[in-house]
Amino acid sequence: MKDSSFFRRLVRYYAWYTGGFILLLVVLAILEKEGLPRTWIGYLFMFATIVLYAGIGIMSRTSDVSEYYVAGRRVPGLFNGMATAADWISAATFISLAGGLYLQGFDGLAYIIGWTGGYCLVALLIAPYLRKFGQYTIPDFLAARYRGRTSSNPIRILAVAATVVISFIYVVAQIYGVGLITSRFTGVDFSVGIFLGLASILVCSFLGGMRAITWTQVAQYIIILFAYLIPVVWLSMEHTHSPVAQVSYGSVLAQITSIEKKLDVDPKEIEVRAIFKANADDYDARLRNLPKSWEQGRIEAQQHLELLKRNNSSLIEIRAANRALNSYPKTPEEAERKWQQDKASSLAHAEPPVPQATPFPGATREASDIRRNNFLALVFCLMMGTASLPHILMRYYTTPSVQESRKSVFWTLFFILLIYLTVPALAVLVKYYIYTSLVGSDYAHLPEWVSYWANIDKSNPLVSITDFNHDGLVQLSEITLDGDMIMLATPEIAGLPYFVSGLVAAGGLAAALSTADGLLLTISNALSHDVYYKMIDPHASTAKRVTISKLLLLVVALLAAYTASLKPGDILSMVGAAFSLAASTLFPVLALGVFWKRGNQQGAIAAIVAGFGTCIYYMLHTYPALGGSAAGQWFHIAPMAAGIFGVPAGLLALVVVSLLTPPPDPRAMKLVDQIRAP
Amino acid sequence: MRMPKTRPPSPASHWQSTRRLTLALLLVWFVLTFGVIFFARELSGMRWFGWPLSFYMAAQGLALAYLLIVAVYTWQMRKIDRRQPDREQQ
Repeated sequence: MKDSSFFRRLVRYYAWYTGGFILLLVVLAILEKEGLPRTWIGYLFMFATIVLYAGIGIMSRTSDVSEYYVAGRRVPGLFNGMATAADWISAATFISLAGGLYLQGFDGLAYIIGWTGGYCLVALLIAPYLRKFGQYTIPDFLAARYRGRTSSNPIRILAVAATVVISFIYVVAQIYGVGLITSRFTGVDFSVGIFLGLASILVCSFLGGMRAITWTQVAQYIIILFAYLIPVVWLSMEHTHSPVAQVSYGSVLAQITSIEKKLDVDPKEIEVRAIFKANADDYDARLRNLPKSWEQGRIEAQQHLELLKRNNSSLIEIRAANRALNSYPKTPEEAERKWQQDKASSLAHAEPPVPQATPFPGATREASDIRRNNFLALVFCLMMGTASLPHILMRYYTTPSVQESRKSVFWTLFFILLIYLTVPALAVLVKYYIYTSLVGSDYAHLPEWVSYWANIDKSNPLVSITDFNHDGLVQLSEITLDGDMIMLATPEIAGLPYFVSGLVAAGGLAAALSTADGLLLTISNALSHDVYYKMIDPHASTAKRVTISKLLLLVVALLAAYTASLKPGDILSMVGAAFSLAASTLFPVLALGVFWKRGNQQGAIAAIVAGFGTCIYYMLHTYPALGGSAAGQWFHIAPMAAGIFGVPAGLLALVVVSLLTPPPDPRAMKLVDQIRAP
Repeated sequence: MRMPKTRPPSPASHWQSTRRLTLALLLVWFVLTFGVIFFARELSGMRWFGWPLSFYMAAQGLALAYLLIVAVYTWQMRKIDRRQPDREQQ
């Protein structure tokens, strides 16, 4: 009875909150009409939402162990579902996913399938059993299940290490996203943006742990939902005359396919592609003549600059030549790397557009088969990775019962689908706009958003349109779009008022912050609960345990922010690596933990080591940025899907080593029986 | 066993039904995912309310099927749990 009144109270709170948020949108819309400057709208959005999260954090402050670690285990399934959805929808999903689908066509759908199908595994194999086990962290579960006769520490240490490594990669990507959004929408420096975002993360999770995070995440989910749906509904009204884009974009897709066919054979497009092909050949020739070509290129650049200076050319030209000289590779090795990249990008532009709806396009049947196999491998990696991410699984400890935890997985997937079913629609609608309104338009009169987004980061422009064949018109091959800007720029592309852009930025920020919150708590809990309390000082008082956890949270957050400020890699590829790593390391031990009784400590250790080792080895061996080469690939599988080898290696190691060593400790057997019972 | 014969389930049979359900749903999950992707090229010729079938399945159909799988699991597990004589309900 108490539960249902608590549930009703929550519904009432969040209904009021949603109403208040809509009111804020209306007020900002009116203020914009009245002439409030754009930057102020950006500031107001950032400020209002961050203060809101901090407010929830302060209201939910706690130093009770159960509240701090698992929100008192009384979060109803529906609300836990919403919170998990916010935890799940990361900066990568919110900012990059639509762009990925835009750029990669059918291949991008692997993320939609993988990131939803994983919840079947969470529901069927893991979540209810974790809840039944009823402790605090993932290492807790693994240590109890795979305990040895004398100690459960070896497996606990490995599980903590895996949790920390996976979550840390993931949290760096989130904080990077936070920096990106705050710097773009408020104009502050990237690293200042990072630390601003960090402050709001800390106020929330530092004071109230899981309890504060849960209620903030529910609030953040509501903002994410608004931010994603409003621009899409608007775009959809414009192009399909129906607000429900998810149902109506099929007709737009058919039109895109027919435009693509025309562009394939368009003489102007072919002309531009030939220019890119020539560029690629030029880079190829230079690469073959290294290091002589590097030497020569540098001298030419210097001579060019001097010539300009001597002829008293315009300042703009001299500056451009100066910049070219400054950014000229410093060593032949650097030149090789840069030219390889330039060659690859020129070659990509020399290809006809990626068809949006055709599965696995390829010149030959083999090339197409390789794409299909990669798609399959990536889908299964993402699914098993989803089912092994500690920060997601940890949320299922917070429901009141096993029954509720199952329901909560259902609600999680439901709330995720509200967004995910919209993502492909958004990608298709934006593509339709680009194909019909931008391609073939006058190069001298580009829309305003192009120059706005091109000027945000001048050295690495998010969008660039260059009239390569000097015909005064825009060709598709002349447009370079960065996937990360598609979602953020949608409101401007659709010609919406600026407050919608502010809303989208606030949504992106909410997505990044909610995920970062969950991840930081996961890391600090693993360190404080599993390492400090369980291994170093089992007699620590509860107050001390929570204090240690809060301190660790601070340290980890600062470390993550520092790493993110170094700007490593692009968001999607980093997160992709984390999924493969999580799947290879934790999936075998988690999934077989309940379903195969014979698995023992030795087997689990072997599984974690073998899975992790295989995955890392494959990535190092095949990922060019890490010193590998594509030639080392097995079955032509890309390094991002390394988990497809890591998981079987882990499973095999678990089974073989367990069977070769004595059966598990009787206490572990008893635990399994207890977890299996309702 | 303490329970009268009319309420047959024992922990073992509860686990057996759970396992059977889990296995069946996992099979559906796997066959759907694998089938749609593996035969995507063949399916793309077919139309589904204006979408090529393979695009629709990859963008929406599979995700909705997954939601259904989780829903069936939750619903069936509740039934299986209810058949079990009251054990600790925490």
